[in-house]
Amino acid sequence: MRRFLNGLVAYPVALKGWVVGGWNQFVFTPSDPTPLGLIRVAVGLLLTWSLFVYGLDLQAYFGRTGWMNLEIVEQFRREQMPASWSFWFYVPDAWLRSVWVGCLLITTAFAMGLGSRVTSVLAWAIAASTARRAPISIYGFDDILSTWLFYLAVSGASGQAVSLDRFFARWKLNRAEVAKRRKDGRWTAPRGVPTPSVSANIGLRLIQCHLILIYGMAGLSKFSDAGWWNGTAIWGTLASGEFRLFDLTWLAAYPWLLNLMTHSALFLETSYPVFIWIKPLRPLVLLGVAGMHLGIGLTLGLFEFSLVMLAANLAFVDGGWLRSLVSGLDQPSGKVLYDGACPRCRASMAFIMAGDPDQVIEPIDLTAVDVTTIHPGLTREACLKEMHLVRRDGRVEAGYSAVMTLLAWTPLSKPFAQVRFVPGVSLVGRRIYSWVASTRPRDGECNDEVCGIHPPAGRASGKDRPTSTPTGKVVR
Amino acid sequence: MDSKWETMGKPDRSGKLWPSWARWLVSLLILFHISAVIAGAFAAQPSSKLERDAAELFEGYHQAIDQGDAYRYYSSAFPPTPVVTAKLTFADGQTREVRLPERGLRPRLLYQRQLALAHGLMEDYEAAQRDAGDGSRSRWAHSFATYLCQSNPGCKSVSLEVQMHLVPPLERIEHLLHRRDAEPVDLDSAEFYTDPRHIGVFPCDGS
Repeated sequence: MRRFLNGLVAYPVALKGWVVGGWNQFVFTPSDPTPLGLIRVAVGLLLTWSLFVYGLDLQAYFGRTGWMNLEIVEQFRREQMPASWSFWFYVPDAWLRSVWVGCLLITTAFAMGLGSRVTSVLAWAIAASTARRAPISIYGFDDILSTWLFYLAVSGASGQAVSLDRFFARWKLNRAEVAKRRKDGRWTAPRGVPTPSVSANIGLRLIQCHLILIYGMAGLSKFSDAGWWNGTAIWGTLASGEFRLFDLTWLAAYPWLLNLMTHSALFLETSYPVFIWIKPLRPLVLLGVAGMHLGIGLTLGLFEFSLVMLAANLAFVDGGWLRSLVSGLDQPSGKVLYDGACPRCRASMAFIMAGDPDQVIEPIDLTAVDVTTIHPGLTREACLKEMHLVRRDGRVEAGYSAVMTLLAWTPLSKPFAQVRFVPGVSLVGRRIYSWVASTRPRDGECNDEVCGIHPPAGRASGKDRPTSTPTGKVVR
Repeated sequence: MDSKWETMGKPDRSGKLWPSWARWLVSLLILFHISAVIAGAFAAQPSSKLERDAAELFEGYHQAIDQGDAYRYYSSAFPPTPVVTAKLTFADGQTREVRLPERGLRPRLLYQRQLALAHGLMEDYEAAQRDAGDGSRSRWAHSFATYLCQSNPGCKSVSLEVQMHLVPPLERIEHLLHRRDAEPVDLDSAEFYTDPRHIGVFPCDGS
């Protein structure tokens, strides 16, 4: 009896400990903000696109006497949603275009992660206001978009990764570091891998919980319709005259295929809330969800809706894996020799290092080291003329070629590095680099041969081609 | 080296993440929000009085944060699609038809917006018919007519109709496909539309 009573007393205490511990672990464990940053990019771009499309017929949708007369919208709002609000109610028709442009600028800044803490709140306010001003022009896409925007705004963590905010913060730190000019010529930039944070975890958890509710309720509600039991429900989405993009009526001749699609969709939605938490099953669930949303996009033309749902599913994807998609599993690395006595070179290094994925680049001030210790084929004179990159495998690149390689190694600038393949760009790029390098100012008194104007590399050699060193090829 | 915002959420030396009061506050806010979302989801029809009453507690919150119907994203079956036709009569006797949604409208998102407009009008028309016994008292119908009058100079009146574009029964399509002279099925065939329901005629002079 005593054991029974003890058990009755002990159980609530143990239960409380389990609940509190579990809750703290679920909500307050720092998480990698990379998935949240990518969700921000996707959601921000979709919001910008949505606004842009409204702008194609702005007066029709937001004008006082457009499809949705402002007075009537206000009437409905007072009757049905008195607590709702919209700044569009106060925008006169003459100002619609200006305000619309302002909104586009804010949503674009949000997508790029500029002033994220402020722009995330403004972006959500824009989405909510737009939905309230044009209440019968919205559908599931707008509702879901607004929900993810709300979570990105309240977490305050959407700019902690994949953002210009982070880039500028790292740039600022790098400028301070590079300006110190240590005696060994080396300095370390902050790690490129975003620091896990509790606020990012909260944002991701909110999105995850909402997702499982959406899929779970979608699955449960389907049990009330006979079409989901007899395997024909999917037919409605394939044969809707107003939504279809392609003629899929031929599928009626393959009932087993319709049955398979119907049962698969139902299984996926009902199992999602459980299976998504089981790590070995997660990739399968996410692949299934991706297939389902791709199907919705292609059969119903609901591309934006599909994309906004897919974006949210990134909340379940590992940040390190997402980063590896950009950087590759075998990330190249190398040492960069730059002129530490040149303010422009220091600023450039700080800028390049701000985009460094994860200490891929090791910056070395060549004025403080013996460059032959870095690579036996290097000479101080050659290094002072142009920046040199010594790759991990010993290959050496210099000048324009080195800059382009560094741009290609950095996720943010990778797209810009692709221009080097455009005919003529390399020729112009080399000339510009040589001119910039030869006219660069340096600290202190000008007392060495490369301090003043020297002939650009291309002109000096008469050719704009790679040159060799005793130990290897230097690519320019 | 790390900036302040980069270290946010990083455990401090004592091993604690956030101060206790902050965790309590955030926990309460999250629990409130999740309760609101779940209550909203379960209040969708069919639902019990308990579920609807629970959702009512959060009604103001739902409206203020624009949760819309994001917590009610589910449909048991794909419904027929409303299509609105506006017949514009001009002073010189000419007429023009405007279809909502306008076929071939690009970008596709604009077409989806028009689909939503047609759906909104149909729902309001049915509500006006049910509540006032007169579908022409639909406020959205008046709004649409006013817009069409203003955006089409010379327009004298606008007549609005709504009909449903049906999802063809699977058996019917199977039958059509099995005919010997089987041709591609035309989902825009008149047999897949309901008869148009006349909403009303709206003069452009406001009378």
